[in-house]
Amino acid sequence: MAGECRPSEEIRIRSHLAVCPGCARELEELKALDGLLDTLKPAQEPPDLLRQIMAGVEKAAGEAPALGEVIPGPGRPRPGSVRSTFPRTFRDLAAAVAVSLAISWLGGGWLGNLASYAGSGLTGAVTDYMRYTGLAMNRAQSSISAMNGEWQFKADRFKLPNNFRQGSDQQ
Amino acid sequence: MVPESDELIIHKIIAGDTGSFGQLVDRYQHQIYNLALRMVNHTEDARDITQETFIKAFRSLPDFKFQSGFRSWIHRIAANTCLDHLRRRSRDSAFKAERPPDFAGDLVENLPAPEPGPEERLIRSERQSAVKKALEMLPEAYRLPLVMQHYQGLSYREIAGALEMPEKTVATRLYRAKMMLREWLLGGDNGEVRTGENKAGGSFGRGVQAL
Repeated sequence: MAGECRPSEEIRIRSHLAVCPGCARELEELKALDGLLDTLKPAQEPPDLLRQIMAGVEKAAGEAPALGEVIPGPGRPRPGSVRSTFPRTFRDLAAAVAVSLAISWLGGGWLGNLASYAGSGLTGAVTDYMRYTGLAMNRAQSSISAMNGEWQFKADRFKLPNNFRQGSDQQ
Repeated sequence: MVPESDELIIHKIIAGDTGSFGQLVDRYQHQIYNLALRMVNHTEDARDITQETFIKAFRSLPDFKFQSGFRSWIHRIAANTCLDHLRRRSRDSAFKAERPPDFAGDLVENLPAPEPGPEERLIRSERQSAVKKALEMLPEAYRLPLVMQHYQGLSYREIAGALEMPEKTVATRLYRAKMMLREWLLGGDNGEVRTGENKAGGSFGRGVQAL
């Protein structure tokens, strides 16, 4: 049973147990077995396990571009990031869009200043644009995936598992 | 303050905040360590398996689909890591001779109050030893779902997700696992379960019933 069956199912099982000594005895034995299994208490993990794990994770993160789609946070560039894996054509196209947007937004009064920063400020602006655009795309994709998952989960809640009856009976 | 959901933390990690992975480790290391300990019966190996599990999870996070919960997903990785470990161990015939199982995490001293007397402690110790041996005798295909259900508190659905099998199969394996344990530990008389000689030896078997 293990709390896995519906109330109506539980009533049916209890009614059966009331008139079936064999099943009632089996249930009592299973309860006794649970009691025996409970003599093993949860073990306390080593106190430095978290530190050890995170050291391993940091090493793994530094060694390989495992999270190839992950954009590094500010000041934490690492290989395999979106910036380095964007197709060159797309990167060039995005850079062109960024430059055109910057020029149109900043207006003529800023144009002179902008020109003086050419090669440094402009490069930084394009870089930032790329970083945050990529970040936004990543977040949007993750959110869409999460929504899909959530809806799937909600839909699943209304489906009766096809093995529920058998699993409950067996317990 | 409401703790952040696993999913939100995963979004942050995927977006580049790798430090947030520590929150997931902190949240699940206890469960994964105990799963590994129940599966391999060795504290040092359980520690290594736990670390390996989380490193694999970190590397695979971009593949996380969000359809199943993170708890089920991390248990799936841990289960596979345990099975890999057990396969490597079985290939090493000298393993048992060199490294006997240790149960430092399950010392009787860890049992909750009230403080038992010497006799009670002995009885508990014998029971614990019998249960450990019985779990070790269970085939892995049955031990995994049993440990996940009884000790980890996973639902049938979560176990099914972790082991990538239908819930019906989970229910069947849990039932058979308990039938085997019942016979070994309580001297059951079900003809469908294993009736062979006790491999673990010692005071294991029907003797526990007398305790």
